[in-house]
Amino acid sequence: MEKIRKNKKIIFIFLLPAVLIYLCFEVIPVIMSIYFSFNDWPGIQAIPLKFVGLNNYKKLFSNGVFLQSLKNVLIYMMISVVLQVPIGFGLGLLIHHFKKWQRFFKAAFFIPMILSVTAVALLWNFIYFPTEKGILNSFLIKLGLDSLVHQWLVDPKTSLICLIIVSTWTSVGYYMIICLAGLTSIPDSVLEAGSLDGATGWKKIRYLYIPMLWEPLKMSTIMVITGVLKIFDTVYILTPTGGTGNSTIVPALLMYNEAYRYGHYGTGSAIATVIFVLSAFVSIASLKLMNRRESIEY
Amino acid sequence: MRKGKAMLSVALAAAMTLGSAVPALADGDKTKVVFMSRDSGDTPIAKVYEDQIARFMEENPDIEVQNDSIYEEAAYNNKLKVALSTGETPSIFYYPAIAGLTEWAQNGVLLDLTDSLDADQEWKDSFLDGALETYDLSAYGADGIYALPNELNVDAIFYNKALFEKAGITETPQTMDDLYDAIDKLVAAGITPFGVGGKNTWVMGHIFNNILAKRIGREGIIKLGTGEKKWTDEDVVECLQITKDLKEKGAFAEGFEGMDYNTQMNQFLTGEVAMISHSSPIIPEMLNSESEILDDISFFPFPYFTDKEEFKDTHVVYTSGWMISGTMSDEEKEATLKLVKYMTTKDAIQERMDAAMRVAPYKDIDAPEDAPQIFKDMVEYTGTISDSVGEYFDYDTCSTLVDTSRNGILNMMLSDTAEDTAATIQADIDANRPQ
Repeated sequence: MEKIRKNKKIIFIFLLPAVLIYLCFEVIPVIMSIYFSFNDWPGIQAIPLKFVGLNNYKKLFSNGVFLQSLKNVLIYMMISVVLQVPIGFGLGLLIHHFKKWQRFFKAAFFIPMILSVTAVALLWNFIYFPTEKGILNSFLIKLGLDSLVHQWLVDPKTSLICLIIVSTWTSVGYYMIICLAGLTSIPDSVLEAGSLDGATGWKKIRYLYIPMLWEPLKMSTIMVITGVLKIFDTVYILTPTGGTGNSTIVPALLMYNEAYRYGHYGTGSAIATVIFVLSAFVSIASLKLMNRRESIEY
Repeated sequence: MRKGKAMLSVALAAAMTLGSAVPALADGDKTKVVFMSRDSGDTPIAKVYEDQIARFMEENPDIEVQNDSIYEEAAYNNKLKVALSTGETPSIFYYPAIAGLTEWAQNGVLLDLTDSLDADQEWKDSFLDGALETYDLSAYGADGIYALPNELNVDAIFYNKALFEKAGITETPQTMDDLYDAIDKLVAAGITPFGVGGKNTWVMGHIFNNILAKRIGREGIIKLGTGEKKWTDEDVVECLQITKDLKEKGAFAEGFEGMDYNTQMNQFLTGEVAMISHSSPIIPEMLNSESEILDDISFFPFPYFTDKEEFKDTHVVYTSGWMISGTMSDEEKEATLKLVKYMTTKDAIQERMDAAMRVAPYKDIDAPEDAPQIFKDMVEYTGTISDSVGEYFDYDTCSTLVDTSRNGILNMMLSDTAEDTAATIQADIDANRPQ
């Protein structure tokens, strides 16, 4: 067995299928997309690609709608990181201490994650319904807060935050499970020692749980960032046009429209490349930032 | 990495499409014809198509027809676009455009049907007068007829007779002034005049399109599409303003901008609102519902403006057509045309109308004897139309216009001025219309 493990040819043969699949379906499409972004092409095989250099990028960065989409997605990303990870981990810590109802709460908070986006969007559509028949509006009326009744998904001031709330509601269960998995791997002896040293309440979270859960926290943050930068489905279903005054337009929705609806494959590919570069840049920056703090090994 | 995953889905979709949308020789040297429409599943029309295809294959054992129809719009468009980009154009397909077909026509993706139609005069004459001209792309730089009209979606205002009576409206509005009066009476009676699902931007887009047709006529709309007219022209801005003013007159429900199409239909079919602006395919949809007000539903043509009597008889009719691939071999082309002719015989069209109540652009097709009165009325009304026009964006080669204009109209209903909306739309056209 040891001999086989050291045989580079065998290692290569075993790795080859995975590498080929990775190359074909990950690397080559990315390279092709970057190549397409330097060309004009209406998506018809009979029409040859026309090299336009950086024109698609120039057009993109002088397009107000695209810049608005970048602004929206960055706001979406920042608020999502601030909401999804802390709420998910907070729920995880809370549930960890309720042994009796743990299973129920785990399932309850995780259910939104397994629902289809369409079902979730439909559900929230009823909640955000723009008249007094909407669940949220009727609730506000019952509380006597009639002045707060709103066209939640229509008003540019509230539409983006409404979508962020939907994404947060859907995702926190996932980060809660990651937190719970991290918590179960912390030895009781470490927590007991911490308690003996006076770490209780907030101190326990600050000095014991957060350092010990640093790796899952890092991973969750990266997942939120990359997930939000490519967000499409929730936005498309709840605000298919990108909201009033492009208040909820995001790059992925714009990319879909340019490539598939308008036949501007070059522009669509340029947007895809920007999303790719942005995802890579923000993920690496976040990792670097979070790596400054060393996680505790035990 | 993330983008790579997105590309993977595209690659997989492409792989799946490649396996299905390729017109080629089928097993046993049969000639394969790929038919791709939006009618699939359990709908009455889909069943008729399946039956007709099955009968055609029985009568033509050397031809195999593959029905790749998809009902869901986004899935259909994605599949078609992947097929076009890989050069695997389906033999017969549907795409909602007229001027937008020009680039495809110029590059051989679509078959010019002029010769085939001229060679079979009887077939050519079976289409309603002027119907084939819809797909004559000469004005856009591609000489020829590049699709066969298959269905007509005739726009009208559907209304609830009981609610009209309750509000004291004794006659259906003929002019826009009559419509404004009706709106006032309905509002006074506490009834919401129009059900509008503004979230689906095409709903307001259709209302605006009717106003445009009644104020600038067919010629004006075509000039708007070819660039001879601009959206910032006074008469077009005026149409936008009239659309916006409908809201001020209380024509729509509070919060209509955030409601969707399903809510609009639900409001109408439960007798909550008095009118909807829609087109003829809504008739079978309404009749298949369990609404209790079906007997109270009727329709009237979109009213005209008394100061624009010259456009009184211009009616909005959306034509949906069949495009034929221009990249097929002679054998495939022959088989495809055979199928198309088979499906456009009088019997085949009548069968589809009987089963699904679709208005067809063919001569001598009547509503069945046992059809509901509203459908018979619609067929009769269609027969009276001599001047029709489609969607304004059908006549424009700017592919982004449909979204920019409809989103612009919705934004206008919320806050923007008609002038700003027109300027935004014109700027989009200037930036994106192919030169």
